[in-house]
Amino acid sequence: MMINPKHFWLLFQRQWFEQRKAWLVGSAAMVAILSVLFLMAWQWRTSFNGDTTHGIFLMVLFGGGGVYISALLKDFGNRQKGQWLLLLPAPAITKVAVALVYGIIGYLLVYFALFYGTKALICAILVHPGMSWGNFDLFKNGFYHFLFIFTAFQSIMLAGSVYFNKSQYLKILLLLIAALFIAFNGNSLLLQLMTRCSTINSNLPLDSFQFIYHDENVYVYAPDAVGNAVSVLLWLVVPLTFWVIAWCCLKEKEL
Amino acid sequence: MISIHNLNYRYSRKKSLFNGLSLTMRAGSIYGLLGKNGAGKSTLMKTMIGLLFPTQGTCFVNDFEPRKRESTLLEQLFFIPEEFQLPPVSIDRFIQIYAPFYPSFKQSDFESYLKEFAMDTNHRFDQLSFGQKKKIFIAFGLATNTRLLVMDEPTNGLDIPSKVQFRKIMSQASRPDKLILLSTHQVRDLDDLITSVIIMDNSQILLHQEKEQIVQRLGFYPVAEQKDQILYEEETPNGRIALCKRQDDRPTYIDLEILFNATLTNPELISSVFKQNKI
Repeated sequence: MMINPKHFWLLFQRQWFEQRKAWLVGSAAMVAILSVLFLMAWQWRTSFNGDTTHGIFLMVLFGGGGVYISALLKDFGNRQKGQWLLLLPAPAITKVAVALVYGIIGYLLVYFALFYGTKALICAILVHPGMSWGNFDLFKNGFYHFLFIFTAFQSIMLAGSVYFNKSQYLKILLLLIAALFIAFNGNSLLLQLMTRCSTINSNLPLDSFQFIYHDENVYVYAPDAVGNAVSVLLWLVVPLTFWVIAWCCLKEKEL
Repeated sequence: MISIHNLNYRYSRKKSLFNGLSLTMRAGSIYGLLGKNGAGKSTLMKTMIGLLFPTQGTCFVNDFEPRKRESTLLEQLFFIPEEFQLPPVSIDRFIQIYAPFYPSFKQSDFESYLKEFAMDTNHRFDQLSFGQKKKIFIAFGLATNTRLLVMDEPTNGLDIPSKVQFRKIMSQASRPDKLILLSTHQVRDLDDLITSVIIMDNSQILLHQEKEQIVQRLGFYPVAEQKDQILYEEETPNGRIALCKRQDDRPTYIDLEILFNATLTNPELISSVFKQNKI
């Protein structure tokens, strides 16, 4: 059940040699999308330009990352390629580990380089002396938490790409949207049942809810201990669970 | 080397295969798995190599359970499916990527098999025809020197000269510690090559015999020469041929196609010949 370093390196090389051209094209597409979004942000710039940049960062990070990681093990969409990958002499855990390294660490490194590179280029062209792009600092006010959410998201995408044989990306996205819909609405119903308060008008599962009392909005937050527990759950337990699911799916895959 | 006991495989609730099939295969032989389309050959082979898992029963290859797909077993197993897709890289790059996964791979063997197929390594896979790709894939599979080599319809897609080259290469690749399993429905392509015959129909094994045993028990004669003890007869381009119990010391050439048709027509009768004491 251990990751074999020799097999890891061989699989790492295999992925690189077979997919590097597709990655190059993908990177070029990502630069083009980022450029267009930066141009639009500059064209309609607001006093919250830094927040808009955060939005662009997250949108392309998650969109591109999901497509990328679900394509890493796309061989299962083709019976012949899938059989070849399953019979390749390396443990399933090593195959999953290589996909995770490429899909999370590799992608983040490349994405940071592309994002900051494109932003610097656009700024050099558009932002003349005396003008300012606005405040943009990824690591301010706990924004770095996105790294953990991104890891959980990529882990879910990877598990789905092994579980499903066709249209993996779309199927997982649909499932995620359905899960979020059920979580938010289910949480609202549950809170109403528990508190017998019919004026709850918004909620964030496992975090907080808001209700109306004497025409005033009242916020109720979970205690810090619960917040910490939820952080551990989302940042650690969820990714680990989906890594194990991906590994089990790969081990039990029949083609 | 391969031991299957009481095997059942279920595709769905309604469709079940093998019905308690048991089979033992030894190293040092080239097995020909013969059967019509849909007879269950590919499913049986995929079960042996761990691509499909038995619903019931056991399957062991060199004391490993293929369904666990342990690296130690996978390093000693190579599967050449009827259809395959190779990455769009050069042949040299393919070798660089995949040869290290197989500890017994020999570059010199690969080059010699390629030479036999009249191919060289200065190509990319996306520039080659299916037949050319198949030849390279077969050469690679043989050069891995795995102890189990499984080939599903290996001659499909090969032209006539390549089939001759294939037979020559395969006879060179045989070793006492290696088991080769070939499945085909084109029995004439492989009849000189195989040393044991397994005939399947409706996911059941109708006949499993070494060719030596078949030669000892059965004879193939022109109908005009043989009037008695005919088990089966068939019209061929060389006249009407009869499959009979062998009655003298004169061995005859085994016509696998006739044996195959005879077994499918009357499996109990053909099997009974091998259960009787030799005359």
